[in-house]
Amino acid sequence: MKQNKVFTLVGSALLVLASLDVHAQSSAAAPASGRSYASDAKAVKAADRALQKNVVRALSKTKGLRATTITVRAHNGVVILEGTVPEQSQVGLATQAAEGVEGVASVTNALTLSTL
Amino acid sequence: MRFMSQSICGATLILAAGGAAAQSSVTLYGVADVFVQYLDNGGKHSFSERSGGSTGSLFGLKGSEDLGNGLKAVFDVETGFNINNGGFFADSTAMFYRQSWVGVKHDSYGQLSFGRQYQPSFWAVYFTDPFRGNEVMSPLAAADLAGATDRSTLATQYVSGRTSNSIFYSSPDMRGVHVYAMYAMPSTVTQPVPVRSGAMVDVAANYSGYGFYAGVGYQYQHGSQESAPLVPTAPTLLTTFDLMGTEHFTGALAYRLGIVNFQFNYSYNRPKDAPAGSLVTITPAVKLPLASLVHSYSIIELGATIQATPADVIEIAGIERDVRGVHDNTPGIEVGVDHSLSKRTSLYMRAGYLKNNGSANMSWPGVTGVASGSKQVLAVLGMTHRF
Repeated sequence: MKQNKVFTLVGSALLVLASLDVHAQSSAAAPASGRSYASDAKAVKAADRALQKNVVRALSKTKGLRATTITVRAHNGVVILEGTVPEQSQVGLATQAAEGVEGVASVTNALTLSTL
Repeated sequence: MRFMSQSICGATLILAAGGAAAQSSVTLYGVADVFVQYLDNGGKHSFSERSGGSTGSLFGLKGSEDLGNGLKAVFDVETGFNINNGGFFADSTAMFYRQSWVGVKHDSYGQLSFGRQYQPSFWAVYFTDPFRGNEVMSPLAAADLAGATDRSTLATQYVSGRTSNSIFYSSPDMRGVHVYAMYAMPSTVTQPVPVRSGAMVDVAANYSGYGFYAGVGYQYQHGSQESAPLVPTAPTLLTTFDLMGTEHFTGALAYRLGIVNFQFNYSYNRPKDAPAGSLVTITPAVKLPLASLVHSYSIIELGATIQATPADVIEIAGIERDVRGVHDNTPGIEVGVDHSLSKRTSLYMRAGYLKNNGSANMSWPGVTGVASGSKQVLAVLGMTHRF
């Protein structure tokens, strides 16, 4: 009974966090598109999501790069790489791989090192 | 003639110089990690300064030498230490407690190495623990290492993460798939308690791609022997008993949705039955059935790693360790925040709660004097620097 409560708590905390994220993304997308039309904002968001997926795909196909612990954020062609890689050499490798993806205008690398 | 010998000499020198730069390298690396901890250990409150809460304090040397034809000689030796007193971490008799191995690595055939190394089952589960298997602050490590303190599973073995005297094979990346295999010869340690380990076999595979991760592992540890304090009121009285041969089944999943990486892992740990009627002798007058120390148990962890901003990561995990056949279980929750000040330096926070039911006594690793059935509340603030 008590265990169930704990899991319910964790579950609802995750849901709250997940919904917070959704709000943050949509509010960021609207002003950057420069117009108030809802359909434009939607199109921008869809494009951002597609670009993010393509970059994730490119990273996971890059030889010698451990992409499992990298988070990719994409907006209007601007890509931010976040999270960790195990070696210094992979920091540069990740930037190169992301820059090679079609539609990427610039790459900001915020990756940090994790020894494992 | 003189001209020719000079140019040969020069060419040799150039080759030698080029070779030295390209063929081999050695890297010194490490982590200095410190934190201040508040702990409520079953009603006893304490503050302490500890080491390695985000990543274990460590330093190591790793290197490789190009042998030609895609083949390299590789090695890694890595020690764990306590930043607060400069002492060795966990085992004061081991200079390279964390890793110590040498082997060969081929671009298309993978790596074969020998020594003290991470286990295949560790590589299956590692990517699905939001607290990255940290052996001081991860709830997964807490649940795993409870196998060394929980009375009902004392003679069931637990996945130790690293194994000495091992032969390890790791495949190259095959379209996102890696396979790992390990065989380890028996070994003997004296710390933290004397254990004579039997041979071990471990195989695992994982897949990573398109934001999806899956891993499976199977480990079998042969029977062995341990000496540990069994009487809480007499912590120096060591009792020697057999550890049952134990199978470990591990499954792990993760999926990345935007900035959130959802993570899940489960392990089932099944010992062989204790021989009928076998007794553990505590004193000549006091004996207890070995079977009372042998139970199956499972560990389940569900969590997420959220990259809130480029410099801030939020970790959250719910955990439960369940012992089968007795009413011993421990649910728990932990949250954490890591804030990067630079690529190499970050500040972190952890807060957690564990509730032991029955005679369970799970706690964060390194906490002593945990009473059966007690609650643990923990909050820490720390700093980690990687070099």
